[in-house]
Amino acid sequence: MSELQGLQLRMDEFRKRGIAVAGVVVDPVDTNAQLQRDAGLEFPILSDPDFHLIDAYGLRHRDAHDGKDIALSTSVLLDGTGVVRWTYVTTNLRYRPTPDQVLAAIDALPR
Amino acid sequence: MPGALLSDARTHRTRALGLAVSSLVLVLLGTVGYFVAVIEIGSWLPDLRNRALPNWFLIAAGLLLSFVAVSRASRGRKLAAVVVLVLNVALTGFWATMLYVKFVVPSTPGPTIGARSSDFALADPTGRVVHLADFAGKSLLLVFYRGHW
Repeated sequence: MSELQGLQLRMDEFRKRGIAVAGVVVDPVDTNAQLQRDAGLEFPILSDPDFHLIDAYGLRHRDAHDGKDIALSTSVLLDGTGVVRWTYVTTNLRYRPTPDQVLAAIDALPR
Repeated sequence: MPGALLSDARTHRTRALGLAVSSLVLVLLGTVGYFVAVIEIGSWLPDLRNRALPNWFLIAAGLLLSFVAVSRASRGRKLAAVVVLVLNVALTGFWATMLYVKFVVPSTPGPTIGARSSDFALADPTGRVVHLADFAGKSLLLVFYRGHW
């Protein structure tokens, strides 16, 4: 969740580079609407309660929170043709990519 | 002269206990402080959250002080200083286990670099269904996160 706030802080730099940002989570639409308001997020959060995209990317974390499955914290960068160009899959609950790592990956995208 | 020696010894003892207490404060700041402060400010300082370096400095300083306290404590205060040292070591062990063992998640490669992403149809907070095709021609950063609770 904190990673979303971290991204929001650097939104200008994503905007400047013409990058769209979206969160993906198992939470229902209502929860996401609330979070988006509370955290003042300017990008959408997409609800994936049935693990369609989470499973397509192999990011299901089984039995992770109160016995429920959730998504592994992961960042995925797609180029304009939908090809995966960069990923950061966390190996530890605490670890997140820093905005600088994300921006460096974006700047390395083929133009 | 004997009086001066006595007061000197007393100061020494007080210092040893003061050191022990300070060492505990440092270790608590490093360990408990990580969970109450560093995780919270992680959005602003992700490096701090990922590496926990200042926490390790605090803890190392605390443990060092704790050893000094034990070595300086008079016989009567030795036990108290040793108890604090054991407590400091236990706190450090617990904290390190949480961070480097309990927080480890199953490793997975995630989506393959260079592969085309599968399409998706997921609802945004307004209920509108968003497709990958909506971002055609634009790079997209998808951030999967654990949830809001």
